[in-house]
Amino acid sequence: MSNEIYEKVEKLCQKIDAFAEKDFSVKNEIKTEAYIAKIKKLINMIEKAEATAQPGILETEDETNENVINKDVLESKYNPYSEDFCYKDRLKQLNGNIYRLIQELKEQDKEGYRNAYIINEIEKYIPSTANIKVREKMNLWQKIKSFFKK
Amino acid sequence: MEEIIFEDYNIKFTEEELKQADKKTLKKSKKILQETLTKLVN
Repeated sequence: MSNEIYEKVEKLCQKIDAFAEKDFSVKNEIKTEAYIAKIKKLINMIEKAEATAQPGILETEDETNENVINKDVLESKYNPYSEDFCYKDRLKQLNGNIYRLIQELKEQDKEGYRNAYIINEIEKYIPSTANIKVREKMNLWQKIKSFFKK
Repeated sequence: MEEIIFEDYNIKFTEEELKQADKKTLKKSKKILQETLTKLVN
């Protein structure tokens, strides 16, 4: 019965999705409103049924697996030791620092002198132990440095 | 007994049949209906 219901809902959604994708001029406004009202009512009926429904036979196992997968994805995504995280984090930090240094350099230009410490400051942000991705990106810093050396 | 009919597509849902479905099916069904609703509203 559960499968039949899902198939029915899926079929309905496919048909209404196709209707929703039609050009606005072709779409019937009254029909659109009627579908919206009916879908809302159906969702409401489903929510009521959910309150008393039994969990599916495989539900617990499926959800546990799903949670494990989600947790794994999150961990790999936000692992502070992952290469990607280090790269993004480093670039974010570098962007903020470089902005501050450029502003400082502009101020110095107005006063007619440039202090070498800015170049030294930039070099501080280039990690000697950076991973390959960061090092590749560092080529960009050579260009920025040459700009400062103008 | 509540029921809802989509005449254009000849599809009907009754409160009784929804009550016979398991939680997971209802959850999945609700999710795709919400996605369709979003498409209609936008």
